[in-house]
Amino acid sequence: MADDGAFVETIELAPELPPSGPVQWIRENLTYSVASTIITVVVGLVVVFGLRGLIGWFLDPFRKWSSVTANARLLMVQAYPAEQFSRVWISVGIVVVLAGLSAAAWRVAGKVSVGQITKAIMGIGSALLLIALLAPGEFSGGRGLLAVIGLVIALAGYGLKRSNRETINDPTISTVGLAAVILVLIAAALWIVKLPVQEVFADGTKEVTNQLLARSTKLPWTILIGVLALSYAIGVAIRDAIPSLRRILVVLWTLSFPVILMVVMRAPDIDWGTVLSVDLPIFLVLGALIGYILYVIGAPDTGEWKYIFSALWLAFSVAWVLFGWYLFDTNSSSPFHITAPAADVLQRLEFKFSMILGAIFALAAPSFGGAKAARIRYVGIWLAALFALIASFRLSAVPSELVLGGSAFVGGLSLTFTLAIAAIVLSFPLGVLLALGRASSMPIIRMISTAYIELVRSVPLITWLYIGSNLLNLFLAGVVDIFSVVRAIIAMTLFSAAYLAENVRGGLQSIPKGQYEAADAVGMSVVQKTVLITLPQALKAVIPALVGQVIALFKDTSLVSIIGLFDLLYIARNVVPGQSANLGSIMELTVAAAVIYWIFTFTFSRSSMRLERRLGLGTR
Amino acid sequence: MSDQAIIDCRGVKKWFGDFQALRGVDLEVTKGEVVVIIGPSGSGKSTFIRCINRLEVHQEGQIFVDGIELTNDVRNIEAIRKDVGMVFQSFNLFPHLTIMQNITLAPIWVKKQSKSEAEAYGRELLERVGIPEQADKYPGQLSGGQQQRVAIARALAMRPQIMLFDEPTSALDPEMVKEVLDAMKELAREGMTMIVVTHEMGFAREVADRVLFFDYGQLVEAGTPEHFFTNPQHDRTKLFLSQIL
Repeated sequence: MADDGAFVETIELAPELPPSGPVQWIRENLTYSVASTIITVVVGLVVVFGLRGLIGWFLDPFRKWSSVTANARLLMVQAYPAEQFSRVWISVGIVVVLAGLSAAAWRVAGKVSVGQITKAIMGIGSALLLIALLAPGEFSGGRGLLAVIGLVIALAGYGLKRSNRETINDPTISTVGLAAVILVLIAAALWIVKLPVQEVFADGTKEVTNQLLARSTKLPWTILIGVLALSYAIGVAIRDAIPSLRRILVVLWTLSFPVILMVVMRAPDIDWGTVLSVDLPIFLVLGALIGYILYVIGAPDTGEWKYIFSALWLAFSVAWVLFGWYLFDTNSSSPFHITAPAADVLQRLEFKFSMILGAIFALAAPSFGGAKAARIRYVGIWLAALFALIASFRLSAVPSELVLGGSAFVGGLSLTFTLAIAAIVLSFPLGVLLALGRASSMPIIRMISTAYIELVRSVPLITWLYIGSNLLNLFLAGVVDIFSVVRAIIAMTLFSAAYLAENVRGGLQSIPKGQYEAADAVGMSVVQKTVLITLPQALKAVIPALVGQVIALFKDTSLVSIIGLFDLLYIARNVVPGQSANLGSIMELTVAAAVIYWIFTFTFSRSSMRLERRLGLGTR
Repeated sequence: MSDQAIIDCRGVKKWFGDFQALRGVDLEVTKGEVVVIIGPSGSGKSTFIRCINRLEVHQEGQIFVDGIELTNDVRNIEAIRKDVGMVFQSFNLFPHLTIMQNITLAPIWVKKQSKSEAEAYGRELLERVGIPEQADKYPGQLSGGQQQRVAIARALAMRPQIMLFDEPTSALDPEMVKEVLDAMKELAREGMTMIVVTHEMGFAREVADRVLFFDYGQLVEAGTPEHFFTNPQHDRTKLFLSQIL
């Protein structure tokens, strides 16, 4: 017996590679049992015939794809005056410059492996081959050519894979270089590639002409690609010299949207006399006065009087807005009603909302004040916020210099973006406040927040859009005529905030009790605890839900056609198919709109996955 | 009450619903004293030290910390919390901040120190607890023992007069207990006033000035470690010690 324990045999084996290869893969994933084999065959047949039908539909010579390309401008900006298109390009340019600088500042560039690239090349080649093989009979002309091209591309990818077998998974290729190659290819394609466009006329005759991909916009797009590369290069050059580059870019991104919306695209007709006589005095007086109060309140000794003072100030300002609205501004049956020109009402609103903003700053001042430098910085932030408030009041009230043909503003995809970005950006702070309100220990605030959230969520968005477009101007009784895009933005913001609040509340609930206790134990105030400890963690936890909401909101903008705005889908389904040359092209345009929506929503979801990976790294 | 007492508790009672967690606890702790509290789980020892910085609210009795009574007055609570550091069983580090940010957050925002001042002291503290090289990592990248030492440094960053330890080694792997206890011993030698809830009898024997035994929400027995471990008076103490030693 070997139970004396003295005999121990050690055999050293070299590690073996697991079995691999296409046959092994098929056996493990598709045909591992009789049932799975049957299912694979059946589903495979369904996919093949489905694809065949789909490809056939796309390539049918009777499809009027020219209705999409011929109306690209309409789909992008609708009736925005052509002589003002430089404004559109400047807007896109601002975004492109910021994107280039940000890509450099956040060091998004990385390395990809040869394996990832060969996979993409082989994918493209196989897709072309598949189209050539599956396309139904009507597609005869280029079938052989397409099959050969697809086969060549796929084989090239496979050859690249075989020749780099040793280093296939090593990240060796810079994404910057790859992006540069792709961008140069796109730019070249804009100038070179011509596609046959077939037009079918009313009398049945057909005409095929070869036309460039982007006929009227090839120059601006090429310039923008150059600007992107240039701004990335500048970003790389300055990112080490300017350590606060990221912070500056966050501010610039925040500013870019209102500047594009209010100044560049809308060309405000500003009356500088009013600005000097109304806005500047309000800014100077309130800025200095409240700035001084904030400086005093921010001093580092504790004192309950500060909170009492700030809370009374806030209550007074809110009451002033609400009662002022009721007694003076809008209610003609009130004995105190005064009829004032719209400009005066706006001036009063500007003043009152500045007071509310000041009260909120005062409430937070003890938490974020302290040493002299910190207090001076806080006053600086106050002045910036006050400036932003007054500027947005003034800019939203002045008329536009542009003569817009029949619509309120830019339409099409630009309107879709305008609505989506504005509603997302504005609903974010409101939603966070509602979430905090609903999680608050103060019963009145909790009840108000809960009631708001439940009320808004219980009614469809379309109803809120109707309410926003019709009732908002009734409430204001013609005092201030808010223009229709802003009414839609307000309705979507209020709607989206309720959903966002519930998402953020979920994040707040996921934070362990120990985090609150640790913050309490070092003596943090409620405001500090929320802003520094719980909110950042809660928001990080709910990124997937927030991105889901952004995508939903982006698509929900298509509902605004109901209140008479011309968004992308409305133009695609109702405007273009009504043109005499494009009758019967509704399916083509709908599919094109769907592809455009898909490009952006897919980009959102991919970037959010990247963001999650970056934020998740080394935190929990 | 002597003039020396930095913590003075008189008849502290506390209920969770109908369950009485503390049944009238009297305790005086003098400056620089190290008090170790032991007792079976559910005996109210954690609840008691959590009352001292008002993470739990006592319903009857009085607690004075450095002459200030703990009441509902927010100013008193804030003043006492700046003076009393706490270390938790589950560390409770802030996972979204680096080690250095964890340590400097409260000095910067609560004590209004400048960032450079807070970071200089933060580095000194990390040196003292023996992990200066971890300053830029996140809590999730550290071992349990390292995390708990960061938690000690975080509490010390506020320059407290009193440190409370709520079972600081209970959530640690055995091989990491020693490094945390060493940091605590170091602190005791420097003259910090400490109240420690723990099951580490070796630590109690070596470091404590006084050992308290809690059971059923009451302070059953108190004495020097020598007296306590060799000659316990009360039957319940004897039973408890026989079970764990």
